Amino acid sequence: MKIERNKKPPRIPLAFFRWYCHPDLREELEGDLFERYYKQIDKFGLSKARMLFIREVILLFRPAIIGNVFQLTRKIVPDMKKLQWLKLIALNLLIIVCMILPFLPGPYDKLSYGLSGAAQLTGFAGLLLVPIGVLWLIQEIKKLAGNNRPLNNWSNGYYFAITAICICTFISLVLVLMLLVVVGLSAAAIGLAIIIFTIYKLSFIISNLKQRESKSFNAAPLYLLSTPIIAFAVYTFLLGPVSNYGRSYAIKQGEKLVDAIESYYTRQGIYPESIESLYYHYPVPKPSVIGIDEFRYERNGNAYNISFIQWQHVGATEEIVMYNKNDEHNVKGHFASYNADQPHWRYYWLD
Amino acid sequence: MSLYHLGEFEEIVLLTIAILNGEAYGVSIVEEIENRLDRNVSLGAIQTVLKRLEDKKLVRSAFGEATKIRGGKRKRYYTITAEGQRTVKNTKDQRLSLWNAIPKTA
Repeated sequence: MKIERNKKPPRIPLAFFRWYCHPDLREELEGDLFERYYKQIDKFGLSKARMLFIREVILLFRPAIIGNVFQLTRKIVPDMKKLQWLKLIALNLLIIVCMILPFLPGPYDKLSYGLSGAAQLTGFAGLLLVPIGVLWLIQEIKKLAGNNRPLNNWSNGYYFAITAICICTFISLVLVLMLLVVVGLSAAAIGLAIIIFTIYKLSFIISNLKQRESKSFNAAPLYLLSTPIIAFAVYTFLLGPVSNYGRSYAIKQGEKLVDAIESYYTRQGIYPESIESLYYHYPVPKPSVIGIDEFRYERNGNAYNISFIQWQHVGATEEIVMYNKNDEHNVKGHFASYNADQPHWRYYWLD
Repeated sequence: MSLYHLGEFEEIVLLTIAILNGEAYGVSIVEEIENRLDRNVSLGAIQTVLKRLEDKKLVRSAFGEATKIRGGKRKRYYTITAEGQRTVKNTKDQRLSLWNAIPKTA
């Protein structure tokens, strides 16, 4: 079989295969790939053979065959100090807790909106840092792989750190603006002060990177990779269920308020004018969800409405959850409404 | 009784190695399965099973010759071991006993 120069297998998939394949398997598998590729050219033509080659390379990417990635990843683990792992885990846990904070049981705290919004935005905007994290991590792994070339500003991570810090500063300023709008001037000022302090502290670390001679593993790219991805995953998969949980929890508290109002009606023959009228006779519950301030009450014909506002996630809307025992809910300006799990409760999403 | 139970694809690969009788390597196994069973198989799937069978000591392997079509890379030939042959036979006996146990209906 004559092998023409222009019929060589596609270079990029081949390079990818050579990179990930376990060294002990590389010779036989590369030979198999080549042989199958040239046979497929005769059978199907060049373009289909190239497509099938790419498919084979992708299908070979499996744990039994991958060597390089696992070998290099294993090098990181012993090189990372316990404290570095703890810091990484703690930061990611903090981001997760901040994101779901407004939906957890607890006393109302307006700051939880800002923290949750900031953490959610970290997830979105931080995705910009992921490519830098990947490239930086590759550099760190290469460094661990033991080539003896002297470090330059790329391999010591200096340029990566500068790029990341520029993007982080931009993201942080956007977050400060958000705090200013959602929470207020004091929170924004605190946020700005934290940014300035962080940049000041980081500037020393970054300038140290420039003079770095040590070839030990730098965990910074793991932060750039893990934090945005985890934040984004929590936003996508966890925030919806947690928001439902927060709503259901507040509704349970609301049921106690309904009982108090109905007891008042039984005794007085009319529904109370305001929620304050209940205070002297009945315990009035709070929503007891960190992101929900209070129950609102209004008489509505022969019945009444109880409602509360639950903050939704960034990019979504405000949610009003309302009770009316006659199902005569009236919320204006909503674009969608749904029945809650409990009877006579509905929630509305507003623009 | 063999120590190992074979999965469906493991059984197919082991039988194919036996059929190829000393000529079994990645590409030849893939082609033999595709020709005989009319079933698309990837090198990745075959390799995973071959490594598993080798770990179970049902097959053994050795490097063979390099050819130009293989870019000068050597083939790894697989042959079935005595344990592998016993396992295949046991599997066949089990299948047959199941077939024979099906009641004959009028």
